[in-house]
Amino acid sequence: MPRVRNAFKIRAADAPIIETSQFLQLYCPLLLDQLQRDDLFVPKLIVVRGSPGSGKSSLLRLFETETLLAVHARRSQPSDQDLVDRLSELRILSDRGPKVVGIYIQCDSSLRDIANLTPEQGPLRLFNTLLDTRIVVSFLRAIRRLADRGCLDLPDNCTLEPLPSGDAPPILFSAARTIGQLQELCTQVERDFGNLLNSFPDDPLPRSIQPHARVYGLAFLALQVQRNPALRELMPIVMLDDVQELYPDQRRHLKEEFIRRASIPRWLAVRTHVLGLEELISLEGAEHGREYREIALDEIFQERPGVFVKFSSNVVHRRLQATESLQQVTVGDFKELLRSPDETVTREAATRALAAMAKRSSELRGARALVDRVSKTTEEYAQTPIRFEDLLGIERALIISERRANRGQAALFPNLEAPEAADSKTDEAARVFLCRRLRWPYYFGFESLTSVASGNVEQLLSTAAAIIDRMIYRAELDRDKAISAKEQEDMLKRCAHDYYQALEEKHRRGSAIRQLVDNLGLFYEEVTYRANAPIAPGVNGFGLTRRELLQTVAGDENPKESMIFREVLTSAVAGNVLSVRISKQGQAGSEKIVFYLNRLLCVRFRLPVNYGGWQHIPIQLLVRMMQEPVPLREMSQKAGASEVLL
Amino acid sequence: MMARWTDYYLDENFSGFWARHASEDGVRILIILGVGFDPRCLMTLQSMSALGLGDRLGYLALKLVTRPSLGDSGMVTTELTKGNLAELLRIDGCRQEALFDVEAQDTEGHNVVGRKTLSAMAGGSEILKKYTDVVVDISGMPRGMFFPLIAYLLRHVDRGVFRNLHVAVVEDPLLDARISGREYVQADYLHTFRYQGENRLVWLPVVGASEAARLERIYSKIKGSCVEICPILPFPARSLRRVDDILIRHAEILFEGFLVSLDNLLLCDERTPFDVYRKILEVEEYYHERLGAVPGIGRVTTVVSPLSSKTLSLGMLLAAIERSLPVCHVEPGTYQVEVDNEGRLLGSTNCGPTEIWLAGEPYGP
Repeated sequence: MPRVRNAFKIRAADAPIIETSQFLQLYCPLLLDQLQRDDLFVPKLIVVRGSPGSGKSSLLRLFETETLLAVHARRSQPSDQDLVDRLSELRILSDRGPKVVGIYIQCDSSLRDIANLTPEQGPLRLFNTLLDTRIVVSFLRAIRRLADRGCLDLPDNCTLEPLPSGDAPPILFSAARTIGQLQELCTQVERDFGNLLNSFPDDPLPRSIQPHARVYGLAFLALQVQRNPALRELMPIVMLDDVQELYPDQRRHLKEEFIRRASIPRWLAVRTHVLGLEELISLEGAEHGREYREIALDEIFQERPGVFVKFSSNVVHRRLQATESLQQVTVGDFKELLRSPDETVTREAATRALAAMAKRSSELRGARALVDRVSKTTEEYAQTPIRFEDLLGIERALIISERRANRGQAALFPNLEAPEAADSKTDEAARVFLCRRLRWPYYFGFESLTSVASGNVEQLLSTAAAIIDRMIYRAELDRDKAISAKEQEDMLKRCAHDYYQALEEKHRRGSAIRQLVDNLGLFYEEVTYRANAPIAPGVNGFGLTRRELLQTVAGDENPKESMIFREVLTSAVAGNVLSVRISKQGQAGSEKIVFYLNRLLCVRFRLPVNYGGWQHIPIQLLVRMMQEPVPLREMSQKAGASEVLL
Repeated sequence: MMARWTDYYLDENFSGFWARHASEDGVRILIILGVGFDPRCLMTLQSMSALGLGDRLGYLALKLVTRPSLGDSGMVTTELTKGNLAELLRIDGCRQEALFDVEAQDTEGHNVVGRKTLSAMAGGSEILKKYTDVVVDISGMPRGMFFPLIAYLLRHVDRGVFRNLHVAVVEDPLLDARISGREYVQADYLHTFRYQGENRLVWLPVVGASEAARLERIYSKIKGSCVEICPILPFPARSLRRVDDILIRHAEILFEGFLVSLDNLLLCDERTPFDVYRKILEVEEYYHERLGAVPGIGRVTTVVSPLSSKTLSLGMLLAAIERSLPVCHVEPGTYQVEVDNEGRLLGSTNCGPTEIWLAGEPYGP
């Protein structure tokens, strides 16, 4: 990457961010652990599911010939030894080179647009043709690449066998052809597809395009690796990415084609199934393990949150190196420059806070001890600044007193009651409360920066860019580059504001998404800052049961409501405004699908950025929240009273 | 290389031009217009109907059908569209040939307006044969509609289905400022301008007042192959400070985000489509020759993105037609329109249509 003023703003983030070597070192070992040898050599269908940015494409691209050749070229480097060992163990890599040929096909708009051709042209049959052509072209290109790099002995006149005539193969697969001839034919078909998609209504179907009754490409590749001695040691994997981009009919068709037994592995990557995509690759009737397997990437990263932090550190480090005035700043220095707040609170702020705490504790039943503690602290620190941690202890005690006071029956001897055990969630709730009370920074430091990224690299870069701008400015003026906690929080709030402002413009059903976010923010804030912190440290998600989702999406009772619900939620999840996690808390079988707010939006509503705090919201209320401002009282009554699931 | 529109015909005195041209023997005029919420969509037809041509003036209206909108802004645009449709039916002195509904998006939210427009036009192809002159009024049409439509009609005029093809456009930057796009769909190539291939790309976006979000989306789509970006800015423009405002607003995304070199900025006259047309052809030729010889790059394809006024977009379209250039675009899913308490659009336009003669008699041998 060239040295520029602020490298965090460069949008050409795709290649530099996950460049092969970095991807291999950081993500690869984790993802590879999810694979079994059977996945590659017992031909079955694998469905990779994940939310946007979870690494679906990266996983698929790992098996592309280009990536595997890069690993092969670096196999002697000690840093890559673990990776090479794992790939060798999975028999993906041999001493001579890659043994797996990943055929990566993105389901882009041209593949989808075939569905819009006239019915007489047989859109699904044409879909098969284009898919077959892309599969074959990608395979041919890969084996040529392997041969060029000396990983494969490919005779000059290497001929590919046709499919048996009993299968009634289309022209593409009906005759023996050399690699060059087949490649030329496929290129012609692809070019003609381009012309077809750009054609006017009265144009004829280009002659080279023959509609295919089914997808023959899988059988064709299987035949080549079985019969052709030069290709015998290779295992092609056909990988389709972004399957959710296709139309429902195409997805159903694809599922039928790919679930059919074939001698080579087939992989489909699809966004985490939400509502409209529920039926996608449902795989009913297929046998889990033998015929198909699902890899849910979100669950992997939920179990290993440290991976994203590690990844973020690497991204920040490399961007710093490319930033002109911060080349000398390492990621360690950068973390240091993101300062924490002072340990002491100004007397004025502390006095105000203690007065409010004293007032509240005196109103609480059975909080005599707390009243005394507040009073003592006030006197003790009348002349000296007070430590934040001391106030935090009182705030925590206040929350516990609130909880005790909320219980139905007062204790006969409150002073003899065992104190509520300390727990980290209540501690965090106390910190959230006290920061608001003191107007003290809550979002600061590198950890906050990675948390508010919501697991998304683009979001990490855009928030970090603002901080880096400030550092560059100071470096240029030869000033201290450190950023105070207050400044960090202000900058994150501005980023959150910009993110919020762009919701309407950026997303399909953006106005409804913004309305939902407004209502949710109001509601979450109210629940989070309830004096007894009922769902500590706070709420930033809503949960629904699978049954509720399915019933609403079916739309039998209210089609309009169903349409709004489906479109808004799907678009919000697709755009990362909401992220989906499955919660299995509670009784057996009571699985809940939880929709968490993007972490930058948590900053906007001053909510904690942890995961886990959510509430059930009835569907009807949720649909209303998408359409109009809902009074807070109503949201609190209906959501809170209906069922507290956590 | 000789360009098709090296010499061109453009007349800002729209009524004067048509009063003269329509007086010629046998002239029969068909206006093709898009009917949506934009108050300018009927101005050309209203202006022509005042000429008293009677049966010699017909129109084919393409009514934009958008998906049910949620919220206030959706209701506003729906009401304005209804008002324009009612107004259309009240216009005297012309004959309605057809009123086609054209869906803008499919059930999944993907833009299908181009394909649907051409399907509708194919259904009404007999209508074209009855007229000598076809005028496409692009004032109320989205780019996804008029780009394929004009390409389609150009082919018909070249085949002699009718004699002359014109474009009419009402430009009003003040009114444009009161209308803003929302809920952008994904960046994609416009119908009939789709890119299929593996060449490296040179991207020429024409940049309007506030387009950072759309620029970013298009860039995300093409960045894997994009080797050069040449933003096109309007200068001279009706307001000479416009180019400064646009540059200031987009400086971060262009210079820090996309690392665009200052030397790559192209300035084009906002008042005519033919300046941007010529410059695109020149740039396309330049990169074709220079980069084609660079090892590791090879053949390049120029992609254009019309993110500014209709006039400049039209220039891009002409270049795209002539050189078969792909057009990558992001259409808004909905619009936010500033209205008064009565639901009327704030401000009205004092501008009239401009006549642009694209094919036919002036270009003949």
